[in-house]
Amino acid sequence: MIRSVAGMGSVFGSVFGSVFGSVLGLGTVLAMGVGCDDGPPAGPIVNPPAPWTHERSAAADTLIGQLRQLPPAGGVTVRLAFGPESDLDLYVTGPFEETVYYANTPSRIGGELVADQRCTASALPQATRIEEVRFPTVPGRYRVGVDYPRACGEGRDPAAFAVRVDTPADQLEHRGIAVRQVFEPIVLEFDVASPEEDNR
Amino acid sequence: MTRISKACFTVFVYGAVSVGFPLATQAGELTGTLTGTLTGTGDQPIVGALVTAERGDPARGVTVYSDAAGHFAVPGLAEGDWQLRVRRIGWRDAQATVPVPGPPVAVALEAETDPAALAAQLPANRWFALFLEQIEDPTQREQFVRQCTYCHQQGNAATRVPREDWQWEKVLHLMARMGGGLTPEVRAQVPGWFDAAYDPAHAVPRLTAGMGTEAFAPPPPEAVRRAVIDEWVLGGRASMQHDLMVHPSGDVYSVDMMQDELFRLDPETGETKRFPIESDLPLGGVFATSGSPLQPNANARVGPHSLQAAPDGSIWVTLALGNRLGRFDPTTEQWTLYPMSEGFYPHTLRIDDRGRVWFTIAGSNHVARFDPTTETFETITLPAVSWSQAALIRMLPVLFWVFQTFEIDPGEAGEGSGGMPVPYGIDIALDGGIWFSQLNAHRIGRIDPDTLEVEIVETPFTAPRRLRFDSQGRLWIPGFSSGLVARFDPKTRAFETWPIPIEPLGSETPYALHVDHSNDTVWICGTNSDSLIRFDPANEEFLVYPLPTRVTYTREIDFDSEGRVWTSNSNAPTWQIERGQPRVIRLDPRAGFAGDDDRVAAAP
Repeated sequence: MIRSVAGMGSVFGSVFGSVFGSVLGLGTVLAMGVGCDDGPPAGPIVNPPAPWTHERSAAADTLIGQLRQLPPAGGVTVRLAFGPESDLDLYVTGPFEETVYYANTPSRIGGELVADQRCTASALPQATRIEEVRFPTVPGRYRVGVDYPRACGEGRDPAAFAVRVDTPADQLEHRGIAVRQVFEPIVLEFDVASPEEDNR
Repeated sequence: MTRISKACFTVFVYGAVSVGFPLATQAGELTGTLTGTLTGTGDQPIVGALVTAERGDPARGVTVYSDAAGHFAVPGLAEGDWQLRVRRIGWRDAQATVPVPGPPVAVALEAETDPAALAAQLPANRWFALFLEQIEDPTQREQFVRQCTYCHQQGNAATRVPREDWQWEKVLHLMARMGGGLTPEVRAQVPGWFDAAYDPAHAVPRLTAGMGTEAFAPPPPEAVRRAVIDEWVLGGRASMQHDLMVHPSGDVYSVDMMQDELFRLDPETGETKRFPIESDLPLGGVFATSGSPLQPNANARVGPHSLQAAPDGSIWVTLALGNRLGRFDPTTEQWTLYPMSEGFYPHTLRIDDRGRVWFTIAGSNHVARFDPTTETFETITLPAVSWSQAALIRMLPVLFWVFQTFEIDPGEAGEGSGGMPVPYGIDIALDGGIWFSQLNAHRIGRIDPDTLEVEIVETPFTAPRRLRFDSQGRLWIPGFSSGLVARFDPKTRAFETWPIPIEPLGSETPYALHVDHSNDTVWICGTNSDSLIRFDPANEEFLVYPLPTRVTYTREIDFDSEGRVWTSNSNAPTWQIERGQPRVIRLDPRAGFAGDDDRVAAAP
């Protein structure tokens, strides 16, 4: 498996000599200037998380509020809310480690992506976008991930989001900031108890 | 006879006859044999069926093929109840619980008469061939095969589901970020190709033409039917056993790339132990914010990828996501990690006679040498295909930063002019020379171990992947997107090639191979056809061994001291694998040869 590097290679191989030439030219200068000499380049850079700002915090609070107004849909329901400036994607991995998302729905145990949101021309400019995954009430551990594959407009700032989980026994909430082109595999993990455990 | 099951097939027990049961003397001892006979319509014997006995959690299974008379004998079973499954293309799976020891069982199979269900029994490559037919341009076809089949099979049930346009847009964007880059021209046509190829109205009649005839799914030859296949579930459902190796101790080690663990399996006892690799890196390792997403159920910070044993018995592992080299001491069971100072994405490794670790670095187009005595890396820059590509590679670290700062979308980008070279397989010649492949550059090369001078050789086929030397110093190479196996003679610089006879030709994607130095037979991963393939250069004959688990995607092969062949099922994502669990696999090609009394005694 060659994952990331091949992906990056595809990118740079494709854009080289294109309209991004000036950017890459800058990169060349920087590469030469950071002590590469005749040796190979250093490794990739791990960026720090995007910081919270008043605006992002307020946006996340608003999104949480909107999710609270939605009624539980039964079973295990996970909803992701985000603003119109971005296209985020919701990933929910069920107890048998199969992930429900736009490319794998439904799962073997019945998890299903009920709603997906995209950068479409018909989307209302100011509308909150809400994605939703539902599972039947299967006991075990669940994991929620959020990806930010692309922005919907010219901007590329980090995007506030909110996640709410409804299970027969519990409700969970999470506020976060998504960075474009970064997948956060774990924004939330939770356990659904078996009925026997609930009765104890 | 007594009927003991009424599930989806019929099992009868022969009343008084009990043959072929070397009884276990102690509970749990693996000496029992399950025997029986398979028949189909009109009591015809079912030849070449995969008969599997399995039990336990995690499961361990033993599989044999039924012989020309429909008899089978599953050896090496401990006392107790086992789940029996009989599988043969053209017939419905049969399952039941059977005791060991116990009398022979008789299984009557029902013919599969539903064309759709029959088509669903076929391995991925059969479906994938329909897809490849859609692509008229051979260059585009090669590109798709090379770029879109290196994590998972193409054509299996999970990959041929219908998708709406918006789903395709997202899927292709995601795959590009994960490394499956396609040119815009190919990418634009992919949804149409999928729809046309996998539309059941088109595909099922094509795939089931001739159903019910002997020619539809001929049984494997007698030489194949002698084999015994063992499978062990290893790790959890989110595990991915990327590579494995047989240690000189006889234990088998496997690396779980998605859960950052090394597994040890004792094949004699079935005992397993896991050795986590601790790291303070974030999930995704050094690539956490590079744009390439980690699998959603993974817990990988270092991503163990390839492993080999050193002369001192220690185990060296490339940690692809962590940009590290790891050493595991089997005696102390302790890890030592060595961060790399140059290059990124350490890939496949081999160890020379002096204990030095040589490995490809896929992302930055290097091969590196690590000397354990001095704990130093020596990194060798490989030639790029062009000056512009060389410049790009040199810029990559900065571009990772640029990528985060400027509006460049990898999902919109394509493969470009040939993609990156991607150093891949590596092996060490008898003369100490280091040979490697550059997957996307379609070439191999040699590094002088003393001068580190690099020589490049163009291959007359596409996508040379994980290569190995035979005992005579000839280099064997799988052509991943060209569906062939090649032999290269370093002395004459001559190539010979043989198409891999998986039908339809060209639908196989051989990821790796290995050469059994005891006889110089070549074993090849049947990565897209749920098989292992043996090639005997002496007579130029292939034998194809069907494997029992659907969606068996294999990437590495090793041998134990008895000539048994080991591999692991590492399809990613794991949930696409039948029953959703990764397994390590051992195939004993000689199990039915003289001396296997169990099997001889199986014939009633």
